[in-house]
Amino acid sequence: MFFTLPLKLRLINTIPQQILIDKDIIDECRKGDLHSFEELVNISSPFAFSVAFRMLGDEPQASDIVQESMITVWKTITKIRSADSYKTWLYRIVVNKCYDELRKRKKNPEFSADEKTWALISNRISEEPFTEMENIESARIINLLTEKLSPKQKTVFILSDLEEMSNEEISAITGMSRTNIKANLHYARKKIGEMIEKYL
Amino acid sequence: MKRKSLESVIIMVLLMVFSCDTPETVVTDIVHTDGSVTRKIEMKNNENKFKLSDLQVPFDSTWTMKDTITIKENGDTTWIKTAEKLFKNVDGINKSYLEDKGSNRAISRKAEFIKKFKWFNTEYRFTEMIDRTMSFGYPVKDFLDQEELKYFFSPESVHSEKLNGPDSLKYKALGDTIGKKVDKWSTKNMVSEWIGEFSGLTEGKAGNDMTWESLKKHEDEFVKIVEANNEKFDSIWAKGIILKEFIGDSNSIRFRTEADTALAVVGRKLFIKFNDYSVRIIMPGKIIGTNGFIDKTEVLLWPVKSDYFMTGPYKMWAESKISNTWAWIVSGIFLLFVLAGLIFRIIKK
Amino acid sequence: MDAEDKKYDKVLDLLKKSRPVFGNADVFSKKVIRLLHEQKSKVSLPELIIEYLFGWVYTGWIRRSMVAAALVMVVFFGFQQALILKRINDLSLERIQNGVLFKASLTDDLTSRILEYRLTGKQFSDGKVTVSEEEIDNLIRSVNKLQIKYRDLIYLIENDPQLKKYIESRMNENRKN
Repeated sequence: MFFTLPLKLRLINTIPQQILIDKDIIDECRKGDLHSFEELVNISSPFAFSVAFRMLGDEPQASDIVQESMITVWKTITKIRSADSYKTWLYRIVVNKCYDELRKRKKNPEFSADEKTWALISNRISEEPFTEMENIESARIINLLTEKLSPKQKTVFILSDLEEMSNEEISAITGMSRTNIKANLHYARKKIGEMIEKYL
Repeated sequence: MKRKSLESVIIMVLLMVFSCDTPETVVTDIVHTDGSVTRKIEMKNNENKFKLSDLQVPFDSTWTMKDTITIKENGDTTWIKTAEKLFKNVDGINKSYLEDKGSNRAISRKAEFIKKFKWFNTEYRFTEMIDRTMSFGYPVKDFLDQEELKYFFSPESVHSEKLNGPDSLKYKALGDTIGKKVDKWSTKNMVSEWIGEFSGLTEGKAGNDMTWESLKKHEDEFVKIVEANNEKFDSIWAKGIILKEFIGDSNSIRFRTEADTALAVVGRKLFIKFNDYSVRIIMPGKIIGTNGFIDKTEVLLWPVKSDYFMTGPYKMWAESKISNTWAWIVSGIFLLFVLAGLIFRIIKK
Repeated sequence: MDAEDKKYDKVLDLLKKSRPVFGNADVFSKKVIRLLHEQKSKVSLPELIIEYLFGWVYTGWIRRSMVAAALVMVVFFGFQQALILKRINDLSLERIQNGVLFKASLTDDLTSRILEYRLTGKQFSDGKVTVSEEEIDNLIRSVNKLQIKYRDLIYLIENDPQLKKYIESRMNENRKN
């Protein structure tokens, strides 16, 4: 059933917690089987891309990050013991690389409201029926909303509210304590809420 | 009285003659790393007279002999006889001790060799031990203090040096003190040993007043009696006077034979036939421990006298170590390998 | 629910449902595999050897065990050597010391000159000897010290009859010899 649905629908209906990785694929990869690894990349790269793209807001960059992450996974595949730990492992690599990239970027000291993007948001939320946005639109909105957030706050917001991960999962991926996660999330939501209140 | 004086003189002369005939003997044990021991005996005498059948340590025809002479500037000649033998292990030495027919055959001696591999070093321990002769004696350390003990166990060369040195008066006085204390110690040992032997011989035959415990309670009194009658001990004992003072009239008559037997046993132990000698041990590698004397040439030396093993075993031991170079190299390579691995990991991160 | 909260939820809902689309996953995976092949072929022999030799560092328990073994070895070595050094030091203190001879507190030069003077039958080749003031001072000080020591020694001997008797008998023996 999973493999016969169209690609877009497949992606809409699948949530990260249910990445279906066969234990055998991991075992074969650990033995050095590149063919099995190719299959693994096929299954996991869309989800890795989703996180990377939402964090960086740039498709080529996100693609590069996912590529680098998959190469790193291959090099450290022996450390992965089970299919369950694979998901956390993969996300950890992707999130760390994106986080490093975010820290490199200069923070915009003066925030100027992007009127076009706010108009886009306003149109989209009032649209009936709902239609999916293109990647570029999605990126514009996320970038706008998270402009004033630190890399940590942005990371926590995306993983929690957009990728819909639990605090335990976020803690395992980022290494932050749950208290820290709650604090960062609260601040992020507050800031985004204030912006939405002000400009929408 | 005249006869007794004559007898005393004859005995003294005989003693002098015999002691002059006993050459100065040094036994050197050269210990090898495989546990084999090259034993060398060096005898020095002012005359070319060496009674090999009466040597202080076991000796036979399997030994290699050599003779040399040294003549001093003043014309004094010293004859030196050297004997050497390689023993494959200490068992060979111990076997020779068991089969000893020499002058010191009455005493029980043993050698021991231990080799311990401790990775960076290999430690060797060689021990020569002489069993005690008395079973009921007191250790000499109960009678002498630390300084006196040190002097007591020192070689004759040390004694000579001290007595001819700047503190000669002090060491002369020390020597005299030690002499008196050793006499006291000998007397006490003699009495204690006699009590032990006598109570053993009369066990089951005598009453409660003749047990070892009850006799032991009167030991100090017995010592005083012996000291008081020291000059004429033999004659007074022969008459039974001392025995009566020890154990009473009736017991002294009843157990006279046992008392004499016990005294004879004590006499043999106290005046055991033993010719003094010196022991040197040369160990492989660097010396790390010993209870012997080390002079400036790093030679380990022990004098061996009958007093030393009268009431306790006399142990002469030495420990040495040799570094295991290959172990150092292997360990160094291993440490470098681990360090390189850690640096490699940091770089790769 | 506030109007603001509603707007917030709507915006979030919009973003959640609009999941980023990853085009050409197959092409992407082939590219990754190709890159891995290239990387593998680029690895030189020395790198391969190093990776082979030090591959253990990536495995946590092996790395920790090796470090622990190295530390144990270092501690054991230090302890053993310290023990041996201590035993050797203690042993050196036990060495038989030769007696220290009493040395006159005069300069070596003066001592040798005085010795020569005595040996040559109290004559000097050039007829005179020159001594500095400092040497005279040292000589006088040494004589004073000797006098004090002699006085103390005589006092000890005089007050101990046994000792006095012993010394007198030894001195008589020496004279006879």
